[in-house]
Amino acid sequence: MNGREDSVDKARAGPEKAGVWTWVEDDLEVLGVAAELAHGLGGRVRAVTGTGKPERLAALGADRGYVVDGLDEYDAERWVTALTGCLGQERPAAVLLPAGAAGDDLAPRLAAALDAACVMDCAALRAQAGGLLVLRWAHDDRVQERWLAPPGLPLVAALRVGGRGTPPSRPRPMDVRRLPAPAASGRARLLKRLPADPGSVRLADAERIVAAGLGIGERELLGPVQELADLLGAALGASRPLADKGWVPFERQIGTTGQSVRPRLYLAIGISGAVQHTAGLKDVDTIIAINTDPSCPMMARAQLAVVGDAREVVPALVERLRAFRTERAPV
Amino acid sequence: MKIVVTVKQVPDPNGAQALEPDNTIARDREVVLDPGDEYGIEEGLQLKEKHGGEVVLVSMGPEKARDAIRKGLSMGADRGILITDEQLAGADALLTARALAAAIKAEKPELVICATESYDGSTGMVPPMLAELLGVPQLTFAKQVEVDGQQVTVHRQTEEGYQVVEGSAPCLVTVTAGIAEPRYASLKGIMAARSKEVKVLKLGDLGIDRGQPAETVESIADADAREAGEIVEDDGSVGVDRIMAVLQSAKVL
Repeated sequence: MNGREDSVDKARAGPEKAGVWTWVEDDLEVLGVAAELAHGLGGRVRAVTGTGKPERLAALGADRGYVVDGLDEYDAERWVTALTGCLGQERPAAVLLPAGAAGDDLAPRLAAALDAACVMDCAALRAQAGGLLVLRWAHDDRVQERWLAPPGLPLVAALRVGGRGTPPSRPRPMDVRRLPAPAASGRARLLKRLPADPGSVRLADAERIVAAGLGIGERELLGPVQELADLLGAALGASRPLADKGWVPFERQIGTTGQSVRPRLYLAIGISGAVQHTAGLKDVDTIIAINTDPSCPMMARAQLAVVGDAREVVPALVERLRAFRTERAPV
Repeated sequence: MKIVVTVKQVPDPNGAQALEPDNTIARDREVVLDPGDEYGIEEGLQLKEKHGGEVVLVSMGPEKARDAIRKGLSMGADRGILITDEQLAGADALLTARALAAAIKAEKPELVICATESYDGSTGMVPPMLAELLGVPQLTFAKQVEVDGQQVTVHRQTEEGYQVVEGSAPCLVTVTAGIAEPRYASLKGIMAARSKEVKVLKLGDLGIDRGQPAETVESIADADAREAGEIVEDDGSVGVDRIMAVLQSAKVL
């Protein structure tokens, strides 16, 4: 806000080390990661929120909360102005944002405004002698990259959230600063929201997922794939190329700017391994893959890899499951 | 409407991949116009066809990147700008955005179209950085773009569905693949592209310094594979038999 140091902080900690900042709304996971990183750096935790409750921030390790009153509907320019306003003259060690449609949009713009380093799709961060070490998922999660942001330069990181759970309690005396939201730029306006397919389970919550990729070969096979999902009580997911082609609605997409999933059963049909969020897939109890290419990453990851043409295997499996259901049906 | 489309030359997605010692993707192999950029070019061309104006392609890369621009010109774009300078080799995202911003500012476009992310870097950082440096609003993850006078309306993809977002030109739009089916270059287009202008700019022309690199990639590793599972060749029934067995042992059935 104005770079003013808190006198109590000063007395306790000596010269202030660069802080770790976060933007937190509903999901508090990113605050836990910020608290952990700040611990490693010996810096303080600053949490900025528009709609979050300050007391929740204090319980999870924030030393200072900035409540920006009236900051509700996401708008990149307005958010950058709000965050840089909270930062004032302070050069943070890091600003952690939750990855997603808003965070992925905001992080690079904020980095440009702060003349900062930037890393997207982060899995983990660690302070080390040479700077901040960041582990990031890249190339449809087929690879993990280790990035290094030099010390002295702020790092803006978009952090993948989901799966870390609620951060451990770290109650702190927190000072809360309230400031008014900057005026909307007026140059970009949200007119309306079009909901995702209302009849469907959210992929992120689904216990069972049947996911299709380009390897299904033809759009017509989506019918049997959907029937397979119905028979298994599973939600239908799709790889990015399939969503890009418009074969399935975007809200069915798993991955980059799509959804992170953590089901117990994952049946991958014609997906080569261009499945995002491999971290999530690691925790899946059962992965079954059907693909013509036995050497693709998805098949390597599967508990059961069936080498075959989806156009033959899927209808056969649907038929078998139908018969199974009929046998088991109460007479 | 004057439209700038950013384009990039990347290693052929269908070719074998390799890394240089500094962890940048080896570009000595087959290189192509980033497939994601073809959607941006197509969208730019369709908007020009509806509203008139000009489509200018801007790229940063080695001299060879001229081929990527040339491909876009053969699809129908009007002219190109190539920022190429040895000092820009290994540029990080912010330096890339600064170079592109300097070149684009001079063009004073009403609309800048970028792909959501590049095929090779896959970070998606450059477009929002570019919007900030140009001082224009950003409308990202657009699966549909409409222009009415100075109003630009997009359907923006989010986790929950779509948002209809309206911005006023000048603005920057990132488009997702699939927004429009990229056209093939016609023979006439390929011939015409030969005589279209490709202006070359050096770092000095843009009035920016190399500066110090921000984030750098230290190492890259394949994501952990699970323990090898069972592989069966499907011969019509064995695959289905095994799937049923696994579903039952997992208590799905």
